[in-house]
Amino acid sequence: MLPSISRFPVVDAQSLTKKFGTLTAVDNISLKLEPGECLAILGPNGAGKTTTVEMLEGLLTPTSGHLKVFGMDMQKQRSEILERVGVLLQETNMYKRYTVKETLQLFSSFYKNPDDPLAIIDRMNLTDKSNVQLKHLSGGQKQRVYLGACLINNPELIFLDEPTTGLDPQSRRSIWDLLNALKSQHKSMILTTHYMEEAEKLADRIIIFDHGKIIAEGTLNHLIALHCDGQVITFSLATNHKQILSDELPKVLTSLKSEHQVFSSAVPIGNRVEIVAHSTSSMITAILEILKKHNYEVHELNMRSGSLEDVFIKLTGRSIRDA
Amino acid sequence: MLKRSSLIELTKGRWREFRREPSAFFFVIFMPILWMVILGAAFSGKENVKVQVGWIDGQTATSPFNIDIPASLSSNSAIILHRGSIEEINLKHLRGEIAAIVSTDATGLKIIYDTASQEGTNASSIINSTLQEAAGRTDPLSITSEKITIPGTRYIDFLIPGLLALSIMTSSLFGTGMLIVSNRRENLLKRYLATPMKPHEYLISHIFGRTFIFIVEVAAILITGYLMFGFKSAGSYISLLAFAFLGTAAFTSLAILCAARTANPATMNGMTNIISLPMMLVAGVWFSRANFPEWLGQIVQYLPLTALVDGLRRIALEGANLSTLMSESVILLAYTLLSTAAAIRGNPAIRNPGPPD
Repeated sequence: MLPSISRFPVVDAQSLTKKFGTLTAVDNISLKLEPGECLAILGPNGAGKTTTVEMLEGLLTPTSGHLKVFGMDMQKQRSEILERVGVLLQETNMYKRYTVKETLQLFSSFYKNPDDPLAIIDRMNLTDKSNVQLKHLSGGQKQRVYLGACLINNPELIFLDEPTTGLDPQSRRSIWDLLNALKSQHKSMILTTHYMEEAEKLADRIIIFDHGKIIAEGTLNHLIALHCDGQVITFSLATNHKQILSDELPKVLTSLKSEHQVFSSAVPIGNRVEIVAHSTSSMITAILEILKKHNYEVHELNMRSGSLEDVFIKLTGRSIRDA
Repeated sequence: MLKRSSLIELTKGRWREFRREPSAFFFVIFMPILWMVILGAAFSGKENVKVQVGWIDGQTATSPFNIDIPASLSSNSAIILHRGSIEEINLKHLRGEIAAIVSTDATGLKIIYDTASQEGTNASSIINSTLQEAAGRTDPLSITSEKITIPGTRYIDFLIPGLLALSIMTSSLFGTGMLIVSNRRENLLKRYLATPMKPHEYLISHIFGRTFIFIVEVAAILITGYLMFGFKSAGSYISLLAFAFLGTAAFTSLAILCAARTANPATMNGMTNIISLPMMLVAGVWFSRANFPEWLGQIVQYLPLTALVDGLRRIALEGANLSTLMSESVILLAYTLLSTAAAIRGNPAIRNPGPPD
């Protein structure tokens, strides 16, 4: 059974806007988070993800809009809210000469009803590192300490800002395991990430940001069905001199788009072109025909089903790796 | 489990940061001791201060009273006579190695020296009486000099409270300021702000943490001063510590104010230098301010370091206590309150982390 707070959305943000001088970092966005839900926020750098999350965490004051967390007003009841919130910021460095235990003891002192730091250390699989100073830990171990600090108050709502960026695949997996365990405890989570795999693995619902606005929202399947229904065709082009086109690719694509509607959804990614196709075989025939007419040769051709990455590319025009 | 207090935990953290940071430890404990030992040894080692006098060879060596001028000067043990060509003597004077030059010409005897310099004036008066006595002057009064040996009146006694003040200033400004700026750069301040911890607890922990550090600092200076020079405070050590605490609070608040307005460590470093270097020179740490021009003295007396130096000196040398140090205490308290208020008020840096990079 979920606690009775489920009457409210855990987070209810209405028309949030944040301006820094003349720059509008976040432009009139609204979002809700239901209890026990994990929401992933994706977007290119500078899209307003971090600014939005920092408003939700009470670190930034919105220029306008309303924000309620647990049904309470962030401006008026900030410290009550933060008692029940856990935060994992990106690129934090805690004091490197503290031991793991000292770090968690320090954070436990900030809350009214903290968990036992030693129990948290155990949950983070750091018991043997308990008395080791942070400077002697690996990136993955440090991130587990920070995750421990984030969970020390047994939070109902957890913010994870790029929780695995910069970690090796094995450490990433161990963080994912810990986060999945939190999901099964019905914690509500908001996750920003650069990794599609992370969003696919953890998120119940996904929001895509660009230029300070929400440009798409839904479950993984919903987003793929809506924006990437069908197959994704990827190909690279060579000229008749066998040289692979990459510099001029956007120009070539623009002229092809004006000529044939087959290319309407084509996006250049590096030296490749991606197109979402509904009827694959006729699409491929059409593409090959037009390219032949223009003396281009298809160098490499692939086909696969749509993924979150394709949705992202289609909506933002950028690959998430570049973004 | 007993609930931990965040203020106590943060303060403990300050102490840990200090204890585990070898360079911080070195600068705070050893720098003031090094100063004390070097300056103490330099100034207490000299038995008698001697004056350096120049004599240009080839001048008429005898005066109208038929005394041998260079010989009479040499016979006074307080005088070190430099002899040489006119070029050599002038060069030595230029370099500050000679305080006064004795010259003779048709008009008589002349002592050439910078009348604004204390050394020159001193040299001139010693030369004058040496030559007058050699020429047959008899003094109606007999006066003898006696060396001061009572602890509490030597240069080292004057210096130690000054060094205490100096070390409280530098360690508070540099230690606290740089720590806050780097905490902010590493996103740690932001992380703290995402907890229910109150920002003022973080700030106060810096003042309290500094207090523990300064107790170590003060103890190191006082113990070394006692062991090496027999230094003892005339006033109570409680007063000394209490007053030193006021100084720590004032400089830590100033550091917090600077840190609150500064984004990166380089700017912070520059700012603390701009604040501390002039004060280091004019606040009377090394020498008495009595010789300063009046207008400068007027300004200088309101500086926090001046208040701290004066107060510590009056406790250590004159046996004053807090109740008799009202004006100094008020100045330090004023700096503490004004800086803290300014740091917290509308502050974009500590309360509000600013736009993400």
